[in-house]
Parts: sequence; C-alpha cells; structure tokens
Amino acid sequence: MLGDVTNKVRFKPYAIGRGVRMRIAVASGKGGTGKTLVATCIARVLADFSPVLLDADVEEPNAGLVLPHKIERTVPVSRPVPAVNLASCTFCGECAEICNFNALAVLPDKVMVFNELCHSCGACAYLCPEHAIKETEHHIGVLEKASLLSGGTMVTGRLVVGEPQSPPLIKKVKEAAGNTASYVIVDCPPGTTCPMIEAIQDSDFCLLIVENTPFGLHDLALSLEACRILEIPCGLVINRWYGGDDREVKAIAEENGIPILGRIPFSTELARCYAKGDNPLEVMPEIGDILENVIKQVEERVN
Amino acid sequence: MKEILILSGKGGTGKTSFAASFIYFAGRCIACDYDVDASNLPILLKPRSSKGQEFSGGERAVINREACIECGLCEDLCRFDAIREYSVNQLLCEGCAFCYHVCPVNAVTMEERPSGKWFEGTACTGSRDIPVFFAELRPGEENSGKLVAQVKSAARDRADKENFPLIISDGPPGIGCPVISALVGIDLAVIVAEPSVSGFHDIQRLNDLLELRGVKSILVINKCDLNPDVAEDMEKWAAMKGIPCAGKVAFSTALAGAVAEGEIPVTRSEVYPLIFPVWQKILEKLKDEK
Repeated sequence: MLGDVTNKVRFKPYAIGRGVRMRIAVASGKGGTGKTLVATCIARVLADFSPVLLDADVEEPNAGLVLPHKIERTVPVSRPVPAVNLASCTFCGECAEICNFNALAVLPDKVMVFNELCHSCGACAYLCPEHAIKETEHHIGVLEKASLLSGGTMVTGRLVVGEPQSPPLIKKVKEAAGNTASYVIVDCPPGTTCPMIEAIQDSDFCLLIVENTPFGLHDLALSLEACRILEIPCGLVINRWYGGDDREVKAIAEENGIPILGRIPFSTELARCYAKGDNPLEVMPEIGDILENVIKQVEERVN
Repeated sequence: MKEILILSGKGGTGKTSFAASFIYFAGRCIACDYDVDASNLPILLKPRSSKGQEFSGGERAVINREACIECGLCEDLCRFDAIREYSVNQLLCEGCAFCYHVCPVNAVTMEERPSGKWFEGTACTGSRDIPVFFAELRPGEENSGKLVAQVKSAARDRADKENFPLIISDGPPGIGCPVISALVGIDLAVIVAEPSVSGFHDIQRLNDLLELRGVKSILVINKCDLNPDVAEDMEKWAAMKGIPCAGKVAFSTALAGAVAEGEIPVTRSEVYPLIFPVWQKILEKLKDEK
C-alpha cells in the first residue's frame, strides 16, 4: 500500500486548534453512506497532528484500501473459550446447565464445545465442580498497526472469516489506540447493534454520516437512538448532497436537537476517484475545508 | 421451496433495490428482510397489516440492592465490565448469568430482555399479495443472529404451509453474526457488488465465508460504470472462482429516483429492462442447483 506520495502535498494549511485530545467516531446506521470516506479524509486533514485512525469495521475493513500506509506490525487476537479436561470430568452436565449461550453439550462420554456460540464469559471454568475446565485461546482475527504515509498511524482489525463475534476484536482495536494522540478517529461498522455500539463507546463525539434518501433517514433515526442511549453527543454530516435545504434531514435533526455540521456535495468524479482508491482531497479539495470546519465545530462542542 | 439471499459484504451497494425488484419479478414468493439492525426492504414493499411480535434475545442481570451485601464478587468476575457499584449496565450486560450463579446471597436475578420485534405483513406488488417478514432490533441490542433465525423460521413455516416455491431475502451487510445466521439453509446467494476497491475487497471476504459454508453464489455488478477496470477485474475473479455473472448494471438515475421516492425500482419502465435479464440469469442458475 505504498505510493501516492502526492498525499504529502498540502493544498492549504488547515487551521485546527492544538492540544485537544479527543476520540471521534464516524458512524451510520445504513451501510455505504460514506463513513470510510469521511474518516480517512479527516485523517488526511489532521495529518500534522499525527492522528490515530482506527478501522473498527472488522468484518469489512476498508480504510487501508484508500489510505496509503505501511504495516509495521501484525498482532494476533484471540478470545478465551472452554477446554474440558476429560480425565477429571465426571460428565455431570453442570457446565452445560450454566452456559446461557448453549455453547456446551455434555454427552455420556464427551463434552462438545461450540466456540462460535461461546461468549467467553468464563462462568463454566469458574463454576465446574471438578475444576475440569480450563480456558484456551480461540483465534478471532488480527490487529494491523500501520504508519500512514500522510502522517499518523492506523490500527485495523481484521476478523477471521466465519467468526461471528466481532465486538471482542473491536475492543482490542480501541485499546491499541493508546492515549497519547490528540485525535483518535474511529471508522465504525454499519448498523445500530453490538458491533456499532462497541465501536462508538467511549467516544467524545459521534459523527453520523447521512444520505437524504428514505433508507438513509430511516436508519439515521435508529443511530441517533443508539447515541442517545450511550449519551454520546453527535452531529450530522450529509453526504451525496444534491443541494437544497434537506428538509427531511433537518426535521429529524431539529426534533432531536442534533446539529448538521457539514455537507459533502454529490460528485461523480469523487465517486470515481474513491472507487479507484485515490485521494479524494485532490479531486475535490473543498472536502478538506468542509471537514476542517466539521472538526472545529466538534471541538467547540466537546470543550 | 427454495431460498435466495441477496448479500454484498459492503453496505450501500444496492442489495435492497435488487431484492425488491426480484420480488416484483418473482410472482408467487415470500419476502424476507434479515437486516434486523436497519430494515429497509419494507420501505419499498410497504407491507400492510403487519402484526408485530416481541422478541427476546436473551436475559439480563438485575441486582436487588436490598439483598446485596456489596461483596464485589460479581464485579470482579464480570468479563464485560457491566457491573459498577453494585448495579448492572444493561447495555454492557451480555446475559451470561455468571453473576447470578456466584452471588453468595442470591441478590441477582435474570430477566427476559425485550430486544426487538418481528413482523409478518402483506405487500401488494402488481396484482399479487406477497407475505413480508422483517424485524426491528432495538438500537443497542445484541443477538441479531438469533432474531434473523426467528424471522427465517417464521417465513419458512409459512412457505411450507402454503406451498410457496420461493423465498427472496434481503441480507445484512458485513460477514458477521447476522449474515452467518441468514445463510442457514439457503439455495443461492446473489452477491450485489459495486466496482470499487472496497467493494471488491468486501466481496472477496464474503466469498470466503460462502465457500466456508458451502453456499453457491452468483454475482451482479451494480453501478458497473463507476470503475470499468475494477468491474472487469471482478468478472475475471468471479470466472476464476467459478461464480457465474448474472449481469452488469450501469448507474441509473431512474433507479436512484425510484428508491428516493420509496418505490420498487422495476416499476419504472426505464429500470425494468436493466434488471429483468439479471433476474432471468438468477432463475436459470437456481434451476441448475437442483
């Protein structure tokens, strides 16, 4: 993923306040609204502050495809699952009884463990009357730590294909951010349930990327609800903006007391450039200004 | 009875537009939406007389503060950091009941957790009534895979009872828990791909999952003019993997316009000829899969 040295070329200096330490999640209920576009462009705009970009869409991590980087380290990630020592097991069935996820089945002469159903809670190992259960590591994915050619670092989580549970890996991606960077940007998975919740949790602010379509509006209402439950302040960025005053988005925004922080105009050229994996700021420099402005408003709101 | 599932890996490639169009073409069939996080198929199909049924994705722990002796054992043992100051954070609680089992004074109870609802409605497309199954998981809830399974089993029951030959299902994005659940028992996956570097990457991961689960698939390239080079690479890749291509569909303002107005795209005369040949190819492939 080398190349694209032009990325270093700055069209104009972005004037963004220093010294603020914050974590911004970029999310949306609907998929394909432009989360990764916005997250990676923000990373480019904030390049001088060595931002940390977290790709928390571990099922389909895409930030690295559009942001030139060099992978420095790949770390395997696992989660604990039970391993039964049959020598000391009496097949009493207690563990299967306790497990609320049906991850264990006790037969007369063996115990079956279904790793994909296990939530790694540890109850079976702790409560086994014979201490016959130890936990073993079940590989669920990798963390890729990379340096961004534009400046800053990127941590990508990549889930093993076939593994149903992404939240434990998303948690590791978040932990890998450390706490020294001024800006941590989280590219979140779509939806409004556990993976998305895990990704936006502990953020100072959540940018919701919206498109003004019936699908986009329906899913926006759901993601606002998720932010409300977590008590994370949020703001909207309208993508594929066709001009006009976005009456529908505005109505939802006003009803919920949520600001519209920016609008990225629809552009076929931008779509084509992004499809190739090129730098959007080159084709559409105004995105840099729009997002700089968005960040400024976020900073004002967070402080 | 057969089931076709529309998938894409990456979100926003056009799954729902295609699913609704195929349902319109199919005639007698059952429609399902497995994107229980953000269900959009009903926006196009507009089912009426939907009846909703409560769904519980599991349990959650509740600590009775009067009985609690504040020993802190549950907080120490909880792997989900869901217990703080002798109270349970409902969002973080996964319902494992570890705390319930270890509490020395039985101060923890497990309660059913209302996680969402699933619906059975009827849509009218053309002259036909089509049963539509979909669900709404509450934001912040988990166990979307279980809710998908619930929707699927309700749809299959109905199909069996009334002899429906086909179920057409709109899948969730990604390759995680709800997708894995949606794959159960299907006959063919229709991959709707967008020719971008991310779209290509995502269908490759999706295909790895389909191979792992032994599911046959067919490819549709949507917005193929977005990047003809990537579209060509996708076709080559599909040929190498033995995945037939049902067609390429160029970006269409008529299609986008129909969706913007909440209509099934192929009800527009400009869109009909774009998607009908794709549907024909899918039907042929489905016949081969006997």
